[in-house]
Amino acid sequence: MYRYDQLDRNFVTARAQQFRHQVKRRLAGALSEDEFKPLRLQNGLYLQLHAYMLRVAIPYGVLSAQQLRGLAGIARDFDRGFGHFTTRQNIQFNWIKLVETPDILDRLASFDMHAIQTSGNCIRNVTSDPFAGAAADELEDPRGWCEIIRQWSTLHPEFAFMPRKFKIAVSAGATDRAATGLHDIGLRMVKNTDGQIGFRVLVGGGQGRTPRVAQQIASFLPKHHLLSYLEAILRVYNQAGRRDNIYKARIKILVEAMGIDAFRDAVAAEWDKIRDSAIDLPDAERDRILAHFAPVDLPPVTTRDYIDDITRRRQADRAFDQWMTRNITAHWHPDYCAVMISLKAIDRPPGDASAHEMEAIAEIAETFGQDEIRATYEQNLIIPHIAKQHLPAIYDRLAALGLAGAEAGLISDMIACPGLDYCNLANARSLPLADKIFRRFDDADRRADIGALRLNISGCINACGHHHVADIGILGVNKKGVEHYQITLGGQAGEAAAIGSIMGPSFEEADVPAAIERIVDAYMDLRHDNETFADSLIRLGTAPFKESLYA
Amino acid sequence: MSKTPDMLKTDNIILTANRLDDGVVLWMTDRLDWTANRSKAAMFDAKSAPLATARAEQDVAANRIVSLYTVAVNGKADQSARETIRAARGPSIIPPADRPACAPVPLGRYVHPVIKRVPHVSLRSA
Repeated sequence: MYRYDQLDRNFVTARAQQFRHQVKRRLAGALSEDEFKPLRLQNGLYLQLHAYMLRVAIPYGVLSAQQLRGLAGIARDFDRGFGHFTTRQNIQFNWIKLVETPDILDRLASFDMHAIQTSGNCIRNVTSDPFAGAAADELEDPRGWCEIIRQWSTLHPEFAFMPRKFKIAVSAGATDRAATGLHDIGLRMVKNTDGQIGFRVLVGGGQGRTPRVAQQIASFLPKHHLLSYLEAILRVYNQAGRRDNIYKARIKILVEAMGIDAFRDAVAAEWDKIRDSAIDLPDAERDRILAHFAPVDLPPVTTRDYIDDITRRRQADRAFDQWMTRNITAHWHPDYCAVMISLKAIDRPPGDASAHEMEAIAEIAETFGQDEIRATYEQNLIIPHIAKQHLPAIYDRLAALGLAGAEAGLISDMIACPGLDYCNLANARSLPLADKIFRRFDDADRRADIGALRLNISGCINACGHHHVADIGILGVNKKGVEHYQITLGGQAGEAAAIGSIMGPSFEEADVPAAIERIVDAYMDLRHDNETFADSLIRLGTAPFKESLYA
Repeated sequence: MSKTPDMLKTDNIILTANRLDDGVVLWMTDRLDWTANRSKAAMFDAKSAPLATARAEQDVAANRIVSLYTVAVNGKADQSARETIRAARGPSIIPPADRPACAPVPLGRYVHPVIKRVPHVSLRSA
């Protein structure tokens, strides 16, 4: 993983010092709230329903064990002992004091982290495949390119005040695990007919009140041209994007208004001016950054006796068997795997982890997992490099923590925004509804029988809970002062990204779990063998599910 | 200062904001100061609201509070989930509870730096 050099450390330390002065001036009245707000947002500090909220960047979801311990320390010393992992692979702390924020930024800088590019109209923290560097199906580790984009975009003078926020995701697996089709720019690493690896570039995706799937602007971009091409896209957007209406300011609106062909032409014209400039990194500098992401040096496994041990344990222990089925992912090394730690359970708000749990996960990563942890788009954590012989021991540790749920990819693996329990923008609560739905499907065997099914909940049309791209999406709305929930079907976030369709009138909260159950029961009745929910929906259309929903 | 739509339907309001230095949710009392206890919030009618609002806006200008807004207490806003959750000063679910660290931090791996604190600004003493 990327290791800060002195330049990086000096930068984040100086940035923390700068914010300390800004806070001091704000508290002394030298800055008004209008003057201070953009400054605090540039450091990830929001004012939410109950208190300030600090969003800390986890670049492309990669954490060292030491950093996770550091985040646990912040949760314990400055917050209420827990943090919330987000869909953009960041972490949020909900009970922050403005006066203590400079101390928190100092603390973050001490273990090479910060809260920059987590808010405001800038290029946000780049997201990626949480299995990067471990996945068996990837062309190349995408994290090096994420880091190159991070270094290019941080404090980029031209893109500090864009029309709106700007999100980039990079994926290199055969399966898109970074939702690249739902980002302002999505980059998918592909191989061309000559065997060269480059980027398929998508543009204009996003959710919110105007959800759009990104369109292809380039089928193959040579890797060495990445930054100049990104810069050309950003320049066109920065100049032509609407600044008169916040709801029409994202690049998806510009791409749609111009049409993808005209937008591509505008980018090409801009790119012609800069493609041979110094924006693209010299080979040596590019290689220096990519070298941080060389394949991890994994200790050799000398015996495969563990295979029999695991087989026996799976036969004797149903919960362990389900965990092995759901939460273990293939690694490029045959004796290794990636372990998904589900942050979804009854009585656990999706994505929340206590300081104690973060420390325990860090310890597992230190003991068994090469000191690495990843935060996922689905609000879980992954230890990406685990020798399979350690799986029973890791399971036992996680079970003792209440973190051994075999939920990965199931209906219980819900993405949910903080909703009205924390968020100033929300219309309705997400977290208690997620809990009620989990309880409705509280039988682990039933959840496993239903199989892969994505259910996402957003507390408002800003769609932070990604309800648009779920098999079953739930959107909280305010109906005459009462929380109601709309249901959508048929969204997807992967290679075949799609926006779900609204089924009809909304439901009161108490009626939602039963409504979801009716949809699931219809699926169970109608599906062919091994047919996923998405495939059933494609085969049958929404009509039979809608009929069950409103029965 | 923003107004809820229900301001148009009633003259009775309460005033709420966040304390600048720590973000704590506050409500204006009948003494025209601020409390973190919703039950001590004062309701202002058409006659008293202008003075209370003016005082609240002075506190905004004096950088004591931020995010000031009114809630119509006779309208639906005061019964809304938003204002109910805000008055409860916490979410309607139970967040994960922390416990002591499960194991000692390995020596030499990470040591908390000395924390330099900015002097706390008390609203009461301001």
